[in-house]
Amino acid sequence: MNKIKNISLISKVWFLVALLILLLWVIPTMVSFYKKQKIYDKKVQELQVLDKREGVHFEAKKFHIAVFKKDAQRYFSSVEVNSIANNAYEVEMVMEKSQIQVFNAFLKKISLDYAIALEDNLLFKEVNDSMSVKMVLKPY
Amino acid sequence: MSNQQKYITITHYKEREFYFLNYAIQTNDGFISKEIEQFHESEKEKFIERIKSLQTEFPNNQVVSISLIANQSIHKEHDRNRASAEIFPHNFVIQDKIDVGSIPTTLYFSPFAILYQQYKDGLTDELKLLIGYFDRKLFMMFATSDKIHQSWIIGTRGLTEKQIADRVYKSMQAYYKISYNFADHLDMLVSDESPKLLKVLREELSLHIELTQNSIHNLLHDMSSSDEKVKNSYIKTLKKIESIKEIAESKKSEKQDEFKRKHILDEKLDDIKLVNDEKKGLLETVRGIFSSSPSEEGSFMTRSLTSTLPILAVFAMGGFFYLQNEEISNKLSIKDSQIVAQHTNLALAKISDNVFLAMGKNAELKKAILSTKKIDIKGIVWGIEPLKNSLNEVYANGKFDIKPLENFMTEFTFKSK
Repeated sequence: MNKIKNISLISKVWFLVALLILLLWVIPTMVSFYKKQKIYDKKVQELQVLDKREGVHFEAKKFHIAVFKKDAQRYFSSVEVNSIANNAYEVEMVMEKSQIQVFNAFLKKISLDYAIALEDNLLFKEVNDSMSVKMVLKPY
Repeated sequence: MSNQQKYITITHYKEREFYFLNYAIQTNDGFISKEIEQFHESEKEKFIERIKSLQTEFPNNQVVSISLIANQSIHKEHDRNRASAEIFPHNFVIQDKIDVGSIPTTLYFSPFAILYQQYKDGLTDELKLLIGYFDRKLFMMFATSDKIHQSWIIGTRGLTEKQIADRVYKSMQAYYKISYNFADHLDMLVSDESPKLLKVLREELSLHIELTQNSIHNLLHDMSSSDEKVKNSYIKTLKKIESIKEIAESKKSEKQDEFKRKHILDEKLDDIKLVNDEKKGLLETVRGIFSSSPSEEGSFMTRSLTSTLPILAVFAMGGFFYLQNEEISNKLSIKDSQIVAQHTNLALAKISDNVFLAMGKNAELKKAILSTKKIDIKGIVWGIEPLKNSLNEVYANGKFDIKPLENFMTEFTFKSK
């Protein structure tokens, strides 16, 4: 008790300020962090349910035109990626008509492989007995 | 040598509905393994009692187990929030938590750690694929002598040997996609004899495959035989294995050198002494900060500085959580966007699938705009009624129109409402 009395006024003020910061800032931030951590874990699980890829599951990579093009060219005969307004990309893929299932499978994994969202609009067009599909991708 | 002095390792793991238990006496020339005991999962209490009785019988012991869960992976950095073990000079194997339940366990190894111990001496600059086949799972890692480049786990439950080989090959291809490097040498460690799997792997992959077969118990006994290997455990044991062995060895014979015994004792005393000194030092420091002894009264500067320490500590803690909070918020928003995007993609893929299935052989598509809200398609039709019916099954009350063309063909258009 005597020791507390002996503490100087300035030290007592510092202690009080530290206590206030702890209660008003540190603890709420800490609680918020742990809450978000829990939500994040749930989101990861939710995404795992939506992940229909077989075998290896990689984290989504940052979108890069060259990498994406190289990846898509393994499935489709022609792939064109052009940068358009609003930080988006217009993609045109040409494939055999029999390859529509391959395209659907590609759609299912595109946002898992790349940090990218697909605009809710697909344009299919027959071009010289092949099928061309145009879509707009936007990195998030 | 009496049971009190022997250093033994008790190993256990669960496969399907059975617990398997074994123990071995560790000597400087290796371990001497005893008979394997098997308990059904309904006899869990009996199984735990057996471990406890072995612990009582042999006080110098380690209870060792293997983590066979699928969600463990290799990272470059240590994660303080999860169970981790250093398995390579710059790699850590990490899993969410240690899941041994109520079963006594003092050392807990990942199959990746076991693989590393088994093959580390044979690693070179050339990329090798190391595979451990435990509990119907393939624990795979691509490694060179300096680090592990990639790891993953593949479940094989219900798959044929050919399908397993196919998955191994797909993994190698997937790794090639990200690294442009292909492993043309494969080492495989299996816990059960599976000659058929090896034969199929060799045939399907056309690779040089070295196979080693060893039981999980023997691998675990080996892993817990020295401090160097024990550091790969998820659980950081307080017991120093080399010390336990040394003590056991020192008691083995009455003719043991007296000096050696004293040396070990001295080391132990030194350890205790150091801890005491440290404790005392820390207490003194804390007291020095928070008490106002007469000798400090003259030093205003010292008091001012020490009184700011709590606020600095609070700011440091707040700053840390603030940054963590920001980071998790970013990660959360990315995951949110990814989930929304994935929902849209799955819906679009399903719509595309439905439309092409509905058209089947009755029509050929010329142009289509598909979205999750509406569809608008145009093409050539051969079977008008079947096409109309199947499209209406997918999009009820859609607007279906036909138009004869000059070349005796019929064009159709369909718009959903």
